[in-house]
Amino acid sequence: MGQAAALRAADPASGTGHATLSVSALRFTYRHGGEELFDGLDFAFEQGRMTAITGASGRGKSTLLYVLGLMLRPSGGAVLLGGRTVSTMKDAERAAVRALRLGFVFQDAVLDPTRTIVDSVIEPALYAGHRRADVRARAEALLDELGVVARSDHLPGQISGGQAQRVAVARALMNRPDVILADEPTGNLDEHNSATVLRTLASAAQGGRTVVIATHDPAVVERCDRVLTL
Amino acid sequence: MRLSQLVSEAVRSAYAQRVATVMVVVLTAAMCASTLLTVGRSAAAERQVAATLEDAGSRRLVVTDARSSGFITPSMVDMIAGLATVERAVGISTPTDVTNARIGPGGTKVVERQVIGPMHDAVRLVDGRWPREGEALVSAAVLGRLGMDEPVGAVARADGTTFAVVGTFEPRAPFEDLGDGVVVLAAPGEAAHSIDVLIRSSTAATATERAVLATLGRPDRADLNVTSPASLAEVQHAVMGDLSAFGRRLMLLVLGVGGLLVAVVALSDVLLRRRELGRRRALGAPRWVLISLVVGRTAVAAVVGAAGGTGIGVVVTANLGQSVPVTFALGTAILAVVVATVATVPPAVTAANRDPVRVLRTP
Repeated sequence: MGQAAALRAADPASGTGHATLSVSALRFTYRHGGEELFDGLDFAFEQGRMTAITGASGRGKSTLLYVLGLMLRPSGGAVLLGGRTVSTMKDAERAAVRALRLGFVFQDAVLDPTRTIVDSVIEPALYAGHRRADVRARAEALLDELGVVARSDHLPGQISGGQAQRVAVARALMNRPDVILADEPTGNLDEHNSATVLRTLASAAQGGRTVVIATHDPAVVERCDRVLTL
Repeated sequence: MRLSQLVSEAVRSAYAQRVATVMVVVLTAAMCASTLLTVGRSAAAERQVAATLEDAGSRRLVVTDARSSGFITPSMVDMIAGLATVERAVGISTPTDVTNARIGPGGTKVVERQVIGPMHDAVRLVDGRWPREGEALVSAAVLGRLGMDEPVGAVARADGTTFAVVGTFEPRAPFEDLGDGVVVLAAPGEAAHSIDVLIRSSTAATATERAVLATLGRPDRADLNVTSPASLAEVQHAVMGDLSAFGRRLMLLVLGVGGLLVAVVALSDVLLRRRELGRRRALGAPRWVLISLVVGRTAVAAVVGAAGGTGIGVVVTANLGQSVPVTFALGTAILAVVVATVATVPPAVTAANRDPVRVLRTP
Protein backbone atom coordinates (compact mmCIF):
# COMPACT_ATOMS: atom_id res chain seq x y z
CA MET A 1 0.00 0.00 0.00
CA GLY A 2 2.03 2.97 -1.28
CA GLN A 3 -0.15 5.62 0.28
CA ALA A 4 0.17 4.01 3.69
CA ALA A 5 3.91 3.78 3.37
CA ALA A 6 4.03 7.46 2.42
CA LEU A 7 1.94 8.35 5.43
CA ARG A 8 4.22 6.41 7.73
CA ALA A 9 7.37 7.79 6.11
CA ALA A 10 6.14 11.36 6.55
CA ASP A 11 6.41 10.96 10.27
CA PRO A 12 9.47 9.04 11.53
CA ALA A 13 7.80 8.53 14.86
CA SER A 14 4.61 7.09 13.42
CA GLY A 15 3.76 3.45 14.06
CA THR A 16 5.65 3.59 17.32
CA GLY A 17 2.99 5.50 19.19
CA HIS A 18 5.15 8.58 19.54
CA ALA A 19 3.42 11.03 17.21
CA THR A 20 2.04 14.21 18.61
CA LEU A 21 -1.50 15.19 17.84
CA SER A 22 -2.27 18.87 18.02
CA VAL A 23 -4.77 21.48 16.93
CA SER A 24 -4.01 25.02 15.88
CA ALA A 25 -6.51 27.92 15.87
CA LEU A 26 -9.26 25.33 15.62
CA ARG A 27 -12.84 26.38 14.89
CA PHE A 28 -15.83 24.29 13.90
CA THR A 29 -19.35 25.15 12.82
CA TYR A 30 -21.94 22.59 11.80
CA ARG A 31 -23.10 23.11 8.24
CA HIS A 32 -26.70 23.67 9.26
CA GLY A 33 -25.73 26.62 11.40
CA GLY A 34 -25.41 26.96 15.12
CA GLU A 35 -22.74 28.46 17.30
CA GLU A 36 -19.08 28.23 16.45
CA LEU A 37 -17.16 25.79 18.61
CA PHE A 38 -13.59 25.80 20.03
CA ASP A 39 -12.94 29.53 19.53
CA GLY A 40 -9.56 29.16 17.86
CA LEU A 41 -8.31 26.37 20.11
CA ASP A 42 -4.58 25.64 20.27
CA PHE A 43 -3.68 22.44 22.07
CA ALA A 44 -1.17 19.60 21.87
CA PHE A 45 -2.21 16.13 22.93
CA GLU A 46 1.06 14.76 24.20
CA GLN A 47 2.38 11.37 23.34
CA GLY A 48 2.48 8.88 26.16
CA ARG A 49 -0.26 10.77 27.99
CA MET A 50 -3.96 10.23 28.48
CA THR A 51 -5.85 13.48 27.93
CA ALA A 52 -9.47 14.00 28.92
CA ILE A 53 -11.70 16.37 26.96
CA THR A 54 -14.44 17.52 29.25
CA GLY A 55 -16.96 20.29 29.55
CA ALA A 56 -20.65 20.97 29.72
CA SER A 57 -23.05 19.34 27.30
CA GLY A 58 -23.07 21.03 23.91
CA ARG A 59 -19.56 22.42 24.21
CA GLY A 60 -18.35 20.01 21.52
CA LYS A 61 -16.47 17.22 23.35
CA SER A 62 -17.48 14.52 20.87
CA THR A 63 -17.30 16.96 17.95
CA LEU A 64 -13.67 17.73 18.83
CA LEU A 65 -12.96 14.01 18.98
CA TYR A 66 -14.42 13.47 15.51
CA VAL A 67 -12.52 16.50 14.18
CA LEU A 68 -9.33 14.98 15.62
CA GLY A 69 -10.38 11.69 14.02
CA LEU A 70 -10.63 13.41 10.61
CA MET A 71 -14.29 12.55 10.24
CA LEU A 72 -15.33 16.19 10.41
CA ARG A 73 -13.48 19.01 8.68
CA PRO A 74 -12.75 22.07 10.83
CA SER A 75 -14.18 25.35 9.57
CA GLY A 76 -10.98 27.07 10.65
CA GLY A 77 -7.52 26.12 11.84
CA ALA A 78 -5.92 22.74 11.46
CA VAL A 79 -5.34 19.32 12.97
CA LEU A 80 -1.71 18.23 12.91
CA LEU A 81 -0.33 14.76 13.36
CA GLY A 82 3.41 14.49 13.83
CA GLY A 83 3.68 18.09 12.70
CA ARG A 84 1.89 17.47 9.42
CA THR A 85 -1.49 19.05 8.70
CA VAL A 86 -3.88 16.17 8.20
CA SER A 87 -7.24 17.94 8.37
CA THR A 88 -6.96 19.36 4.87
CA MET A 89 -6.01 16.08 3.23
CA LYS A 90 -8.19 14.48 0.55
CA ASP A 91 -10.77 11.95 1.67
CA ALA A 92 -8.73 8.90 0.67
CA GLU A 93 -5.68 10.19 2.54
CA ARG A 94 -7.70 10.97 5.64
CA ALA A 95 -9.19 7.47 5.47
CA ALA A 96 -5.68 6.05 5.28
CA VAL A 97 -4.63 8.08 8.31
CA ARG A 98 -7.66 6.78 10.20
CA ALA A 99 -6.84 3.21 9.22
CA LEU A 100 -3.14 3.35 9.99
CA ARG A 101 -2.62 5.91 12.73
CA LEU A 102 -5.87 6.39 14.60
CA GLY A 103 -7.91 4.03 16.71
CA PHE A 104 -11.54 4.75 17.65
CA VAL A 105 -13.49 3.61 20.69
CA PHE A 106 -17.17 4.59 20.57
CA GLN A 107 -19.50 4.92 23.53
CA ASP A 108 -21.51 1.82 22.66
CA ALA A 109 -18.84 -0.31 20.95
CA VAL A 110 -20.54 -0.23 17.50
CA LEU A 111 -19.69 -3.84 16.64
CA ASP A 112 -21.07 -5.49 13.53
CA PRO A 113 -23.92 -7.67 14.83
CA THR A 114 -23.45 -10.15 11.97
CA ARG A 115 -19.72 -10.79 12.48
CA THR A 116 -17.87 -12.74 15.13
CA ILE A 117 -15.91 -10.91 17.81
CA VAL A 118 -12.56 -11.77 16.24
CA ASP A 119 -13.77 -10.56 12.82
CA SER A 120 -14.82 -7.26 14.41
CA VAL A 121 -11.32 -6.81 15.82
CA ILE A 122 -9.74 -7.69 12.47
CA GLU A 123 -11.91 -5.21 10.49
CA PRO A 124 -9.62 -2.10 10.69
CA ALA A 125 -6.64 -4.25 9.64
CA LEU A 126 -8.43 -5.02 6.37
CA TYR A 127 -8.74 -1.30 5.62
CA ALA A 128 -5.02 -0.98 6.39
CA GLY A 129 -4.31 -3.50 3.63
CA HIS A 130 -3.73 -6.67 5.64
CA ARG A 131 -5.05 -10.15 4.91
CA ARG A 132 -7.54 -11.57 7.35
CA ALA A 133 -5.48 -14.73 7.89
CA ASP A 134 -2.30 -12.75 8.57
CA VAL A 135 -3.74 -10.72 11.44
CA ARG A 136 -6.01 -13.23 13.14
CA ALA A 137 -3.30 -14.20 15.66
CA ARG A 138 -2.78 -10.57 16.68
CA ALA A 139 -6.54 -10.06 17.05
CA GLU A 140 -6.76 -13.09 19.33
CA ALA A 141 -3.76 -11.90 21.35
CA LEU A 142 -5.48 -8.54 21.92
CA LEU A 143 -8.70 -10.25 22.92
CA ASP A 144 -6.66 -12.39 25.31
CA GLU A 145 -5.09 -9.27 26.86
CA LEU A 146 -8.56 -7.86 27.40
CA GLY A 147 -9.94 -11.12 28.81
CA VAL A 148 -12.45 -11.88 26.06
CA VAL A 149 -10.57 -14.38 23.90
CA ALA A 150 -12.96 -17.13 24.97
CA ARG A 151 -15.68 -15.20 23.12
CA SER A 152 -13.72 -14.88 19.86
CA ASP A 153 -16.19 -16.82 17.80
CA HIS A 154 -19.31 -15.42 19.42
CA LEU A 155 -21.50 -12.76 17.89
CA PRO A 156 -21.80 -9.34 19.60
CA GLY A 157 -25.34 -10.21 20.67
CA GLN A 158 -23.99 -13.11 22.71
CA ILE A 159 -21.67 -11.05 24.93
CA SER A 160 -22.25 -8.41 27.61
CA GLY A 161 -21.96 -4.64 27.12
CA GLY A 162 -18.73 -4.58 29.12
CA GLN A 163 -17.21 -7.34 27.02
CA ALA A 164 -18.34 -5.56 23.84
CA GLN A 165 -16.56 -2.39 24.93
CA ARG A 166 -13.38 -4.36 25.65
CA VAL A 167 -13.67 -5.80 22.12
CA ALA A 168 -13.99 -2.24 20.81
CA VAL A 169 -10.77 -1.31 22.63
CA ALA A 170 -9.03 -4.34 21.11
CA ARG A 171 -10.27 -3.22 17.69
CA ALA A 172 -8.90 0.29 18.29
CA LEU A 173 -5.47 -1.18 19.12
CA MET A 174 -5.45 -3.60 16.18
CA ASN A 175 -3.35 -1.49 13.78
CA ARG A 176 -0.96 -0.26 16.51
CA PRO A 177 -2.21 3.31 16.06
CA ASP A 178 -0.32 6.40 17.19
CA VAL A 179 -3.46 7.92 18.63
CA ILE A 180 -6.48 6.41 20.34
CA LEU A 181 -9.66 8.49 20.38
CA ALA A 182 -12.35 7.35 22.80
CA ASP A 183 -15.83 8.87 23.00
CA GLU A 184 -17.32 8.25 26.47
CA PRO A 185 -15.77 4.77 26.47
CA THR A 186 -17.12 3.93 29.90
CA GLY A 187 -20.48 5.66 29.53
CA ASN A 188 -22.49 2.44 29.48
CA LEU A 189 -20.27 0.29 31.69
CA ASP A 190 -20.30 -0.89 35.27
CA GLU A 191 -17.43 -0.14 37.63
CA HIS A 192 -15.49 -3.34 36.91
CA ASN A 193 -15.66 -3.03 33.14
CA SER A 194 -14.91 0.71 33.32
CA ALA A 195 -11.78 -0.05 35.29
CA THR A 196 -10.67 -2.68 32.74
CA VAL A 197 -11.21 -0.34 29.79
CA LEU A 198 -9.43 2.58 31.49
CA ARG A 199 -6.56 0.34 32.55
CA THR A 200 -6.10 -0.80 28.95
CA LEU A 201 -6.20 2.77 27.62
CA ALA A 202 -3.72 3.87 30.31
CA SER A 203 -1.48 0.98 29.36
CA ALA A 204 -1.62 2.10 25.72
CA ALA A 205 -0.62 5.60 26.81
CA GLN A 206 2.24 4.22 28.88
CA GLY A 207 3.34 2.38 25.76
CA GLY A 208 3.84 5.79 24.12
CA ARG A 209 0.50 6.26 22.41
CA THR A 210 -1.51 9.45 22.52
CA VAL A 211 -4.85 8.71 24.17
CA VAL A 212 -7.69 11.23 24.02
CA ILE A 213 -10.93 10.58 25.88
CA ALA A 214 -14.09 12.70 25.58
CA THR A 215 -15.95 12.29 28.85
CA HIS A 216 -18.11 13.97 31.42
CA ASP A 217 -17.35 11.33 34.03
CA PRO A 218 -15.22 12.80 36.88
CA ALA A 219 -13.83 9.33 37.63
CA VAL A 220 -12.43 9.07 34.12
CA VAL A 221 -11.09 12.62 34.24
CA GLU A 222 -9.37 11.65 37.49
CA ARG A 223 -7.49 8.86 35.73
CA CYS A 224 -6.19 11.08 32.94
CA ASP A 225 -2.85 12.87 32.90
CA ARG A 226 -4.18 16.06 31.36
CA VAL A 227 -7.55 17.69 31.02
CA LEU A 228 -8.83 19.94 28.25
CA THR A 229 -11.98 21.69 29.40
CA LEU A 230 -14.14 23.15 26.66
CA MET B 1 -7.88 -2.61 1.11
CA ARG B 2 -6.79 -5.57 -0.95
CA LEU B 3 -9.06 -6.58 -3.83
CA SER B 4 -9.35 -10.15 -2.55
CA GLN B 5 -10.40 -8.87 0.88
CA LEU B 6 -12.86 -6.48 -0.76
CA VAL B 7 -14.48 -9.33 -2.71
CA SER B 8 -14.53 -11.50 0.40
CA GLU B 9 -16.12 -8.65 2.41
CA ALA B 10 -18.75 -8.12 -0.31
CA VAL B 11 -19.66 -11.82 -0.24
CA ARG B 12 -19.76 -11.90 3.58
CA SER B 13 -21.80 -8.72 3.58
CA ALA B 14 -24.27 -10.14 1.06
CA TYR B 15 -24.65 -13.22 3.27
CA ALA B 16 -25.08 -11.11 6.40
CA GLN B 17 -27.72 -8.76 4.89
CA ARG B 18 -30.03 -11.62 3.97
CA VAL B 19 -33.26 -9.67 3.43
CA ALA B 20 -31.76 -7.21 0.96
CA THR B 21 -29.79 -10.01 -0.72
CA VAL B 22 -32.86 -12.21 -1.15
CA MET B 23 -34.82 -9.28 -2.59
CA VAL B 24 -32.09 -8.54 -5.14
CA VAL B 25 -31.86 -12.26 -5.99
CA VAL B 26 -35.63 -12.43 -6.55
CA LEU B 27 -35.74 -9.21 -8.57
CA THR B 28 -32.84 -10.21 -10.80
CA ALA B 29 -34.25 -13.70 -11.27
CA ALA B 30 -37.61 -12.17 -12.19
CA MET B 31 -35.89 -9.82 -14.64
CA CYS B 32 -34.13 -12.72 -16.38
CA ALA B 33 -37.06 -15.14 -16.34
CA SER B 34 -39.57 -12.58 -17.59
CA THR B 35 -37.17 -11.40 -20.29
CA LEU B 36 -36.63 -14.96 -21.51
CA LEU B 37 -40.34 -15.79 -21.36
CA THR B 38 -41.29 -12.73 -23.39
CA VAL B 39 -38.37 -11.31 -25.33
CA GLY B 40 -36.66 -14.72 -25.43
CA ARG B 41 -39.66 -16.32 -27.12
CA SER B 42 -39.75 -13.43 -29.54
CA ALA B 43 -36.03 -13.98 -30.19
CA ALA B 44 -36.69 -17.68 -30.78
CA ALA B 45 -39.41 -16.79 -33.27
CA GLU B 46 -37.03 -14.31 -34.88
CA ARG B 47 -34.42 -17.02 -35.14
CA GLN B 48 -36.94 -19.35 -36.80
CA VAL B 49 -37.83 -16.64 -39.33
CA ALA B 50 -34.13 -16.04 -39.93
CA ALA B 51 -33.53 -19.77 -40.42
CA THR B 52 -36.39 -19.95 -42.92
CA LEU B 53 -35.00 -16.89 -44.64
CA GLU B 54 -31.57 -18.44 -44.99
CA ASP B 55 -32.91 -21.84 -46.03
CA ALA B 56 -31.56 -22.75 -49.48
CA GLY B 57 -35.10 -22.84 -50.89
CA SER B 58 -35.62 -19.23 -49.86
CA ARG B 59 -32.47 -18.15 -51.62
CA ARG B 60 -33.29 -19.75 -54.98
CA LEU B 61 -33.67 -17.58 -58.06
CA VAL B 62 -34.93 -19.27 -61.23
CA VAL B 63 -34.86 -17.59 -64.64
CA THR B 64 -36.60 -19.46 -67.46
CA ASP B 65 -36.11 -18.92 -71.19
CA ALA B 66 -39.83 -18.38 -71.91
CA ARG B 67 -39.49 -18.41 -75.72
CA SER B 68 -36.76 -21.07 -75.90
CA SER B 69 -34.45 -18.47 -77.45
CA GLY B 70 -31.37 -20.33 -76.23
CA PHE B 71 -29.79 -17.38 -74.46
CA ILE B 72 -28.92 -19.38 -71.30
CA THR B 73 -25.68 -20.64 -72.72
CA PRO B 74 -22.94 -22.48 -70.76
CA SER B 75 -20.85 -19.28 -70.76
CA MET B 76 -23.81 -17.34 -69.25
CA VAL B 77 -24.12 -20.01 -66.57
CA ASP B 78 -20.38 -19.69 -65.85
CA MET B 79 -20.59 -15.88 -65.62
CA ILE B 80 -23.58 -15.98 -63.30
CA ALA B 81 -21.95 -18.65 -61.12
CA GLY B 82 -18.99 -16.30 -60.80
CA LEU B 83 -21.02 -13.42 -59.32
CA ALA B 84 -19.88 -12.53 -55.78
CA THR B 85 -23.33 -13.00 -54.26
CA VAL B 86 -23.99 -16.33 -55.98
CA GLU B 87 -23.22 -19.55 -54.12
CA ARG B 88 -24.05 -21.97 -56.96
CA ALA B 89 -25.68 -21.79 -60.40
CA VAL B 90 -26.61 -24.51 -62.88
CA GLY B 91 -28.52 -24.54 -66.13
CA ILE B 92 -31.25 -27.11 -66.63
CA SER B 93 -32.68 -28.24 -69.96
CA THR B 94 -36.33 -28.80 -70.81
CA PRO B 95 -37.40 -32.06 -69.11
CA THR B 96 -37.88 -35.12 -71.32
CA ASP B 97 -39.26 -38.59 -70.51
CA VAL B 98 -36.93 -41.59 -70.56
CA THR B 99 -37.37 -45.30 -69.83
CA ASN B 100 -35.02 -48.16 -69.11
CA ALA B 101 -33.38 -48.83 -72.51
CA ARG B 102 -33.58 -52.60 -71.94
CA ILE B 103 -37.33 -52.50 -71.34
CA GLY B 104 -38.02 -49.99 -74.11
CA PRO B 105 -40.83 -47.42 -74.59
CA GLY B 106 -43.25 -49.58 -72.60
CA GLY B 107 -41.23 -49.14 -69.43
CA THR B 108 -41.97 -46.74 -66.60
CA LYS B 109 -41.24 -43.16 -67.64
CA VAL B 110 -39.11 -40.88 -65.52
CA VAL B 111 -37.94 -37.31 -66.15
CA GLU B 112 -34.55 -36.71 -67.76
CA ARG B 113 -32.86 -33.30 -67.45
CA GLN B 114 -29.61 -32.11 -68.95
CA VAL B 115 -27.39 -30.17 -66.56
CA ILE B 116 -25.35 -27.28 -67.92
CA GLY B 117 -22.52 -26.38 -65.55
CA PRO B 118 -20.83 -28.33 -62.76
CA MET B 119 -23.13 -31.25 -61.94
CA HIS B 120 -21.79 -31.54 -58.39
CA ASP B 121 -23.37 -28.13 -57.71
CA ALA B 122 -26.80 -29.71 -58.18
CA VAL B 123 -26.45 -33.35 -57.03
CA ARG B 124 -24.41 -35.53 -54.69
CA LEU B 125 -22.92 -38.75 -56.09
CA VAL B 126 -24.16 -41.78 -54.12
CA ASP B 127 -22.82 -44.67 -56.17
CA GLY B 128 -20.77 -45.13 -59.34
CA ARG B 129 -18.85 -42.26 -60.92
CA TRP B 130 -19.49 -38.76 -62.24
CA PRO B 131 -20.87 -38.88 -65.80
CA ARG B 132 -19.06 -37.69 -68.86
CA GLU B 133 -20.81 -35.90 -71.67
CA GLY B 134 -23.91 -37.83 -72.69
CA GLU B 135 -23.86 -40.13 -69.66
CA ALA B 136 -26.50 -40.20 -66.96
CA LEU B 137 -26.93 -40.47 -63.21
CA VAL B 138 -30.16 -41.98 -61.92
CA SER B 139 -31.74 -40.68 -58.76
CA ALA B 140 -31.43 -43.31 -56.04
CA ALA B 141 -35.16 -42.83 -55.46
CA VAL B 142 -36.22 -43.86 -58.99
CA LEU B 143 -33.71 -46.65 -59.64
CA GLY B 144 -36.31 -49.29 -58.74
CA ARG B 145 -39.01 -47.59 -60.83
CA LEU B 146 -36.77 -47.92 -63.88
CA GLY B 147 -36.45 -51.66 -63.13
CA MET B 148 -32.78 -51.39 -62.23
CA ASP B 149 -31.13 -53.20 -59.31
CA GLU B 150 -27.80 -51.45 -59.87
CA PRO B 151 -26.88 -48.18 -61.67
CA VAL B 152 -25.84 -49.99 -64.84
CA GLY B 153 -27.35 -50.08 -68.29
CA ALA B 154 -28.90 -47.15 -70.07
CA VAL B 155 -31.99 -44.99 -70.32
CA ALA B 156 -33.56 -44.02 -73.61
CA ARG B 157 -35.80 -41.27 -74.91
CA ALA B 158 -38.77 -42.02 -77.08
CA ASP B 159 -36.74 -40.85 -80.11
CA GLY B 160 -34.17 -43.53 -79.37
CA THR B 161 -31.45 -41.34 -77.90
CA THR B 162 -29.77 -43.37 -75.16
CA PHE B 163 -27.65 -42.35 -72.20
CA ALA B 164 -25.41 -44.77 -70.38
CA VAL B 165 -26.15 -44.92 -66.64
CA VAL B 166 -22.93 -44.60 -64.61
CA GLY B 167 -24.15 -44.00 -61.07
CA THR B 168 -26.84 -42.84 -58.70
CA PHE B 169 -27.30 -39.46 -57.06
CA GLU B 170 -29.17 -37.53 -54.40
CA PRO B 171 -30.20 -33.95 -55.17
CA ARG B 172 -28.58 -31.12 -53.19
CA ALA B 173 -30.80 -28.43 -51.71
CA PRO B 174 -32.51 -26.52 -53.26
CA PHE B 175 -32.54 -28.82 -56.31
CA GLU B 176 -34.77 -31.46 -54.73
CA ASP B 177 -37.00 -31.50 -57.82
CA LEU B 178 -34.16 -33.26 -59.69
CA GLY B 179 -34.70 -36.25 -57.42
CA ASP B 180 -37.61 -37.59 -59.45
CA GLY B 181 -35.58 -38.68 -62.43
CA VAL B 182 -32.32 -38.81 -64.35
CA VAL B 183 -29.67 -36.14 -64.90
CA VAL B 184 -27.44 -36.07 -67.94
CA LEU B 185 -24.27 -34.01 -68.38
CA ALA B 186 -25.13 -31.75 -71.31
CA ALA B 187 -23.04 -31.63 -74.44
CA PRO B 188 -20.80 -28.53 -74.81
CA GLY B 189 -22.68 -25.58 -76.26
CA GLU B 190 -26.06 -26.94 -75.23
CA ALA B 191 -28.28 -24.05 -74.05
CA ALA B 192 -30.38 -24.38 -70.92
CA HIS B 193 -34.11 -23.86 -70.63
CA SER B 194 -33.67 -22.31 -67.18
CA ILE B 195 -30.96 -21.31 -64.78
CA ASP B 196 -31.16 -22.08 -61.09
CA VAL B 197 -29.21 -19.65 -58.94
CA LEU B 198 -28.56 -20.14 -55.23
CA ILE B 199 -27.90 -16.72 -53.63
CA ARG B 200 -25.43 -16.58 -50.73
CA SER B 201 -27.71 -14.58 -48.44
CA SER B 202 -31.35 -13.58 -48.58
CA THR B 203 -30.27 -10.00 -47.98
CA ALA B 204 -28.63 -10.03 -51.40
CA ALA B 205 -31.71 -11.35 -53.21
CA THR B 206 -32.76 -8.13 -54.91
CA ALA B 207 -29.25 -7.12 -55.94
CA THR B 208 -28.49 -10.61 -57.26
CA GLU B 209 -31.69 -10.70 -59.26
CA ARG B 210 -30.71 -7.40 -60.91
CA ALA B 211 -27.17 -8.67 -61.59
CA VAL B 212 -28.39 -11.96 -63.11
CA LEU B 213 -30.87 -10.22 -65.39
CA ALA B 214 -28.22 -7.71 -66.44
CA THR B 215 -25.82 -10.58 -67.23
CA LEU B 216 -28.45 -12.36 -69.32
CA GLY B 217 -29.02 -9.07 -71.15
CA ARG B 218 -32.65 -9.57 -72.19
CA PRO B 219 -34.29 -6.12 -72.19
CA ASP B 220 -37.61 -7.66 -73.19
CA ARG B 221 -39.00 -9.18 -70.00
CA ALA B 222 -41.37 -11.28 -72.10
CA ASP B 223 -38.33 -13.41 -73.04
CA LEU B 224 -38.03 -14.77 -69.56
CA ASN B 225 -39.90 -15.83 -66.46
CA VAL B 226 -38.34 -15.00 -63.12
CA THR B 227 -39.10 -16.75 -59.84
CA SER B 228 -37.37 -14.59 -57.25
CA PRO B 229 -37.01 -14.81 -53.45
CA ALA B 230 -36.61 -11.02 -53.26
CA SER B 231 -40.16 -10.13 -52.24
CA LEU B 232 -40.30 -13.05 -49.79
CA ALA B 233 -37.03 -11.87 -48.30
CA GLU B 234 -38.37 -8.33 -47.96
CA VAL B 235 -41.46 -9.54 -46.13
CA GLN B 236 -39.44 -11.79 -43.86
CA HIS B 237 -36.96 -8.99 -43.11
CA ALA B 238 -39.85 -6.69 -42.25
CA VAL B 239 -41.29 -9.34 -39.91
CA MET B 240 -37.88 -9.81 -38.29
CA GLY B 241 -37.50 -6.06 -37.92
CA ASP B 242 -40.86 -5.83 -36.18
CA LEU B 243 -40.00 -8.73 -33.88
CA SER B 244 -36.62 -7.20 -33.04
CA ALA B 245 -38.09 -3.76 -32.30
CA PHE B 246 -40.80 -5.29 -30.11
CA GLY B 247 -38.21 -7.41 -28.29
CA ARG B 248 -35.92 -4.45 -27.68
CA ARG B 249 -38.72 -2.30 -26.28
CA LEU B 250 -39.95 -5.08 -24.04
CA MET B 251 -36.45 -5.84 -22.79
CA LEU B 252 -35.78 -2.18 -22.01
CA LEU B 253 -39.04 -2.04 -20.07
CA VAL B 254 -38.31 -5.20 -18.06
CA LEU B 255 -34.71 -4.22 -17.31
CA GLY B 256 -35.65 -0.61 -16.58
CA VAL B 257 -38.34 -1.54 -14.08
CA GLY B 258 -36.11 -4.24 -12.58
CA GLY B 259 -33.20 -1.84 -12.24
CA LEU B 260 -35.41 0.75 -10.58
CA LEU B 261 -36.67 -1.78 -8.04
CA VAL B 262 -33.11 -2.95 -7.30
CA ALA B 263 -32.11 0.70 -6.76
CA VAL B 264 -35.00 1.12 -4.30
CA VAL B 265 -33.92 -2.02 -2.41
CA ALA B 266 -30.30 -0.83 -2.35
CA LEU B 267 -31.33 2.63 -1.11
CA SER B 268 -33.48 1.13 1.66
CA ASP B 269 -30.61 -1.15 2.58
CA VAL B 270 -28.02 1.61 2.87
CA LEU B 271 -30.43 3.77 4.85
CA LEU B 272 -30.94 0.90 7.27
CA ARG B 273 -27.19 0.22 7.40
CA ARG B 274 -26.04 3.80 7.99
CA ARG B 275 -24.46 2.84 11.30
CA GLU B 276 -22.52 0.00 9.66
CA LEU B 277 -21.25 2.29 6.92
CA GLY B 278 -20.39 4.99 9.49
CA ARG B 279 -18.43 2.43 11.51
CA ARG B 280 -16.49 1.38 8.43
CA ARG B 281 -15.67 5.03 7.62
CA ALA B 282 -14.47 5.65 11.19
CA LEU B 283 -12.26 2.55 11.09
CA GLY B 284 -10.50 3.73 7.94
CA ALA B 285 -12.54 2.60 4.92
CA PRO B 286 -12.30 5.22 2.15
CA ARG B 287 -15.39 6.13 0.16
CA TRP B 288 -14.47 3.93 -2.79
CA VAL B 289 -14.37 0.91 -0.50
CA LEU B 290 -17.85 1.68 0.84
CA ILE B 291 -19.19 2.15 -2.69
CA SER B 292 -17.51 -1.06 -3.82
CA LEU B 293 -18.91 -2.99 -0.87
CA VAL B 294 -22.48 -1.81 -1.45
CA VAL B 295 -22.24 -2.40 -5.21
CA GLY B 296 -20.35 -5.66 -4.70
CA ARG B 297 -22.90 -7.24 -2.42
CA THR B 298 -25.66 -6.37 -4.91
CA ALA B 299 -23.56 -7.84 -7.71
CA VAL B 300 -23.10 -11.07 -5.74
CA ALA B 301 -26.86 -11.34 -5.22
CA ALA B 302 -27.54 -10.36 -8.83
CA VAL B 303 -25.24 -13.11 -10.16
CA VAL B 304 -27.10 -15.71 -8.09
CA GLY B 305 -30.48 -14.30 -9.19
CA ALA B 306 -29.47 -14.10 -12.84
CA ALA B 307 -28.25 -17.70 -12.85
CA GLY B 308 -31.46 -18.94 -11.24
CA GLY B 309 -33.79 -16.76 -13.32
CA THR B 310 -32.07 -17.66 -16.56
CA GLY B 311 -32.24 -21.36 -15.69
CA ILE B 312 -35.95 -21.10 -14.94
CA GLY B 313 -36.59 -19.06 -18.09
CA VAL B 314 -34.74 -21.52 -20.33
CA VAL B 315 -36.52 -24.55 -18.85
CA VAL B 316 -39.98 -22.97 -19.05
CA THR B 317 -39.52 -21.74 -22.64
CA ALA B 318 -38.23 -25.20 -23.61
CA ASN B 319 -41.39 -26.71 -22.10
CA LEU B 320 -43.40 -24.25 -24.17
CA GLY B 321 -41.73 -25.70 -27.26
CA GLN B 322 -39.29 -22.91 -28.04
CA SER B 323 -35.58 -22.92 -27.45
CA VAL B 324 -34.09 -19.58 -26.53
CA PRO B 325 -30.71 -19.01 -28.22
CA VAL B 326 -27.84 -19.68 -25.79
CA THR B 327 -26.21 -16.34 -26.57
CA PHE B 328 -29.48 -14.56 -25.85
CA ALA B 329 -29.90 -16.35 -22.50
CA LEU B 330 -26.30 -15.61 -21.55
CA GLY B 331 -26.61 -12.00 -22.71
CA THR B 332 -29.80 -11.56 -20.70
CA ALA B 333 -28.11 -12.86 -17.54
CA ILE B 334 -25.10 -10.57 -18.00
CA LEU B 335 -27.30 -7.57 -18.82
CA ALA B 336 -29.46 -8.18 -15.73
CA VAL B 337 -26.35 -8.32 -13.50
CA VAL B 338 -25.00 -5.13 -15.09
CA VAL B 339 -28.35 -3.33 -14.71
CA ALA B 340 -28.70 -4.39 -11.05
CA THR B 341 -25.11 -3.40 -10.31
CA VAL B 342 -25.31 -0.03 -12.05
CA ALA B 343 -28.66 0.69 -10.37
CA THR B 344 -26.92 0.32 -7.00
CA VAL B 345 -24.24 2.91 -7.75
CA PRO B 346 -26.32 6.04 -6.92
CA PRO B 347 -27.49 4.70 -3.52
CA ALA B 348 -23.92 3.53 -2.82
CA VAL B 349 -22.46 6.95 -3.65
CA THR B 350 -25.14 8.62 -1.50
CA ALA B 351 -24.31 6.31 1.39
CA ALA B 352 -20.57 6.88 1.07
CA ASN B 353 -21.03 10.65 1.19
CA ARG B 354 -23.30 10.80 4.22
CA ASP B 355 -21.96 12.25 7.44
CA PRO B 356 -20.89 9.19 9.49
CA VAL B 357 -20.66 11.11 12.73
CA ARG B 358 -24.39 11.68 12.98
CA VAL B 359 -25.07 7.94 13.17
CA LEU B 360 -22.12 7.09 15.38
CA ARG B 361 -22.77 9.60 18.14
CA THR B 362 -24.73 8.40 21.11
CA PRO B 363 -27.05 11.15 22.37
